[in-house]
Amino acid sequence: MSLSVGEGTLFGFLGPNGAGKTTTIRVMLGFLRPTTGTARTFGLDCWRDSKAIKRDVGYLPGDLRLPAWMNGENALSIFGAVRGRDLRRSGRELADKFDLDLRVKVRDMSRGMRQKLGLILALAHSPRLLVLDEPTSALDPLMQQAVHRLLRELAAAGHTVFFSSHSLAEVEQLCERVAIVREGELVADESLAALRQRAGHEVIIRWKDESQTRGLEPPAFLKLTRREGAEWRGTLEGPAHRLVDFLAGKPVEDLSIGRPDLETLFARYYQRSREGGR
Amino acid sequence: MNRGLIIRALRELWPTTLVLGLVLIGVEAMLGFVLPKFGSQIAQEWLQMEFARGIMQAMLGTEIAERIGPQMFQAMAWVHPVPLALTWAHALLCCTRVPAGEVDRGTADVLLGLPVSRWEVFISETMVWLVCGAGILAAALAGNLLGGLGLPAEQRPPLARVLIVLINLYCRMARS
Repeated sequence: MSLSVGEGTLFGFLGPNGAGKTTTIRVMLGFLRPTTGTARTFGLDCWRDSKAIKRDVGYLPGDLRLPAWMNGENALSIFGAVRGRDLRRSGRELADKFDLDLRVKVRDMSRGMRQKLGLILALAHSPRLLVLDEPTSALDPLMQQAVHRLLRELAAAGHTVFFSSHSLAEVEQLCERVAIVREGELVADESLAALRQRAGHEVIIRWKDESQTRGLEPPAFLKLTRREGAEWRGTLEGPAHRLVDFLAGKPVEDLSIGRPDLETLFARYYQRSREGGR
Repeated sequence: MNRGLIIRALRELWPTTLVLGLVLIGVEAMLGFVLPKFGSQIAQEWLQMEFARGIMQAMLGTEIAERIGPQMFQAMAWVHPVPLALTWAHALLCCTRVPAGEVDRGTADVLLGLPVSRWEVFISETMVWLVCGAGILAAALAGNLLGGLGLPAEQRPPLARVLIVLINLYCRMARS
């Protein structure tokens, strides 16, 4: 896997369970030593200099567990003591934003509340790099919006956000750059716009009469995924005018050309990489 | 060592240490007071029982019946199953919480996400449970001394000997 994330990027890291997302994060934070190759954060070796790296990193694990006796207030003072700085003020400000009562003990918190506390603890020291593993999985839509807003603000202020998620819609809404990982290997790593550009257009052609399409073969730049009655569905590669030229004079009732959503892209990349692997 | 990690481990362990410490104070005070009283009566019975003396001599390889006295019975407060069970329970509860328990409870990920090395986590938390172990034995000693107050001065075991027993016990706890 070769991956590089620039400063101030909102980076989406996608992949199904077991693809290697959390392992990548663990290598980045120095929890695991890379078996081959090197991993560097802020130009420092992730294994050897992990302590120095983590001073400027905020990390929210996918499966956040905090001691049951802890509440938000003492979590902030303990995390502050470990980091050697007072996090209570910034923590309280974040708690107000996320509408979390810091006096509630972890044992009495719902999963969503624990997730909010985890986010507050990851953000309180205003880290240069924020590593979030499924950060909004337990949050309601309003809270997800609040987190997205905050992450956008952080990225705009020059902080880097490494955002691992299963929620394609969320990554699509939030991230500028996306990497797709499969079985420990990157199958895509580019900007969302470039990814979509490269993935082509989703095309639906509805013919006036099915009989008129008999014997008609699609051009090479149009890969049909479904041909059902008077309707063709497929992917257009390259510019749209070629399709328009092809359809000129033909009995078309309706034409729809659109960008695929990330879900389709993901499935396509996955399919392609599987076929390539065989 | 990291101050934050020490505070965290202390907050993790103090309730267990406090509860078991208080129980130990009570148990040791009771044993330290009661055992020597029974002891002097039992010692007299022993001296009269040839059969029991013979068995003890065969088992231990030495004649002890004449040496059975209040001090020996007070020393039993340190080998009685209840204080031993309480000290081991404390060691087990603490050691399964920090540092080993961090992985089982899944709290290690959050901890290692902080700017600390594995060694710092291990050393800070180990230091805390060693200090808590010393606290538990100090509670036992306090209870034993408290129980001894109810006995005549000549029946109380010398502090130096008690400390040797305590150090021995502490080393065994720490080693396990």
